[in-house]
Amino acid sequence: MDGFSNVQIQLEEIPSLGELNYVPLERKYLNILLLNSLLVFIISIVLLVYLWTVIDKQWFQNNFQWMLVGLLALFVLQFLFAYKSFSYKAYGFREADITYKSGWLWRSITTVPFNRVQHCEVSQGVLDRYFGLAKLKIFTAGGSASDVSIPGLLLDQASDLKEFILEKIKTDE
Amino acid sequence: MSNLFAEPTRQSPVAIILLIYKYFINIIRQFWPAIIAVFIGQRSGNVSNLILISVIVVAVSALIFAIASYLRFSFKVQGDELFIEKGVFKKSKLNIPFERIQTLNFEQGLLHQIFDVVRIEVDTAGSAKNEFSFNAIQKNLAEELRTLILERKTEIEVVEPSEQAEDLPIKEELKTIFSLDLKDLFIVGLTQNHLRTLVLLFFFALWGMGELSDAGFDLDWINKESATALIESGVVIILSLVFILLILIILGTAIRTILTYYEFKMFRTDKGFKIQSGLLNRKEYAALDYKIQQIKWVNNPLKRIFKIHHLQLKQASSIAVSSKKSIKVPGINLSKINEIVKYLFRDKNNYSELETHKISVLYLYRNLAYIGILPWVIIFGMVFYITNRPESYFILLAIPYFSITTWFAYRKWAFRINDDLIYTHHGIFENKNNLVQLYKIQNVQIHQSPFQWRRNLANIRMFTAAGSVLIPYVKYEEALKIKDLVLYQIETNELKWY
Repeated sequence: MDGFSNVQIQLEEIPSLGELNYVPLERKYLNILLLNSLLVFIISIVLLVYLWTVIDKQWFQNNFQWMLVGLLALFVLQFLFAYKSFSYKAYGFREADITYKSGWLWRSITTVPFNRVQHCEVSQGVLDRYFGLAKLKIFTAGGSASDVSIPGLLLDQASDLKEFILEKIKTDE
Repeated sequence: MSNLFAEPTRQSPVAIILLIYKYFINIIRQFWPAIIAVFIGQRSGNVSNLILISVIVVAVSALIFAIASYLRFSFKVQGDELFIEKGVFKKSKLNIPFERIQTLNFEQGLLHQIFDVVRIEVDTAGSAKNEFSFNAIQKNLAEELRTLILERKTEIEVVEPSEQAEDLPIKEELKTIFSLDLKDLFIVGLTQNHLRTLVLLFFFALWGMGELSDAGFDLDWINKESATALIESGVVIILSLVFILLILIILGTAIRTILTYYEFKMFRTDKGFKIQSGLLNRKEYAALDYKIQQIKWVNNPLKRIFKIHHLQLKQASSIAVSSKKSIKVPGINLSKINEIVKYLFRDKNNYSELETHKISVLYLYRNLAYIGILPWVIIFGMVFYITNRPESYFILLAIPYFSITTWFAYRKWAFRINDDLIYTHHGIFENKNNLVQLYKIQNVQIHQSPFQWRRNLANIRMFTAAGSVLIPYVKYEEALKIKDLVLYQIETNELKWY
């Protein structure tokens, strides 16, 4: 593919996203991710044990230990995945837009220009509140698939960012 | 101008009939399996009284509801606002400021035409809550209302010269830019995707049979014996059945096309387009240039013979993307499409003269493996292992089919870009064309699967307020460049996009 020669020249004046310095999420957010997968693990163990006491089928009784092992293996994988993908989550600001990237195996980068933001929202889950973290959600007219939510921000930071974006929207109008 | 609507005004009494009809349809739609079940159960006892009573109850309650909601509904014009009161149990009041009203769409069904009333849809810039429609208003009254609103609206907007005048008084002279006669319509009907309708019909029949047997229908005769009997009676009979069905579908589609698009006319207004069409149900839709987010046109092998496309001008809408919000133009040829594009782009740009870019050939290899070959080999392996029947080999026939479609898909993928627009072309049997002005884009996403990032490739998806545009398998650096170009255009452009 040799294209883009005509575009390339114009692009040189445009600030490239490469110049963007990504800011990693709060380290504490990793705890939330890991706690979440631990919670799911505990719930599924409890469920399995409950089923073990209820279901009176031979094949289930015989293979119970293997199911436990399988569940444990899944958990280890999920734990690793959460740990690994945390380091790929980051966000970055430029003068006129905000970028959020995530994903270890399936990677994605989303950029929202401030002059297309419809509204922003700061939300906190139960675990978020315990760690003093918050999530910043940015909505555009592009529909729910394109909305950006940046987790793992300090609460003050998230509200500051929200104020900053809202201020930007106002000055645009 | 005197205000005809200073006092609360009711709709035309015809609205009652329409409301009864609406409620009845709703009730039937909710309960049709139950209704059928009741009818089936009739044999088994003394239920006929029950049916009679329930029919009467439903009818009477629909009637009462319709009359009550007719009486409770009123509208008036107060200052620069349309003021509406409605609701049977929960009273609600609605104020719609004129400057928020984008367009008033008129619609006439058969009943409307008989009583000379229209249905009005008020399209506002705000949230879905403010979208609003009148069921039936006398036609002259409706036209009066429309002129009143549009005149007041322009008065308001003159005070704020920065705002663009949003809509035009409809009486202004319009230029017809495209129309369809009966012959064109016939071709349009003939060239729809009939195979898809056939397949849909097949699945619908399966689903319907499930529903009916749930409702207590005796469908046992359809099972095994009848099926084998049918197959044994010969491929010829099955084929001729399919053929007859296909003819029926084609006829049905042709009739439907003529009903919906009868006397189709497309006009160019000052700042937008307007279409009128329909035989029994005459519809009128308007789209303003700046609200059009995507221009799409599609053809299929049949349409290619007649050199026609199906064009869609997709509009930004306050409600989530709904097909109702896009203007559809069937049976239009490419030069007419280019004319319309020129209106929208103000002659600035010709997408067809730009350099064409292809996507990476790895798209072909990857999809050949993962869509064309691997899944079918696996399915074949499993089926053969379980059933051990030679018929399983038929599964392998999927491989050439999906390999060929993948090859088509790869060959057709192309895009063009400059600093104003992006154009994509793709499809398997169809040709799908998509044109977007860069400043209409809301945000940009780059995606990479493990396969892609190991080979330095990416998908780039650009979201507009009416659907998104995807370009798969471009070089990662190129994706970044496209992204920065788009962002630069969005951020430096102050044109109104919604």
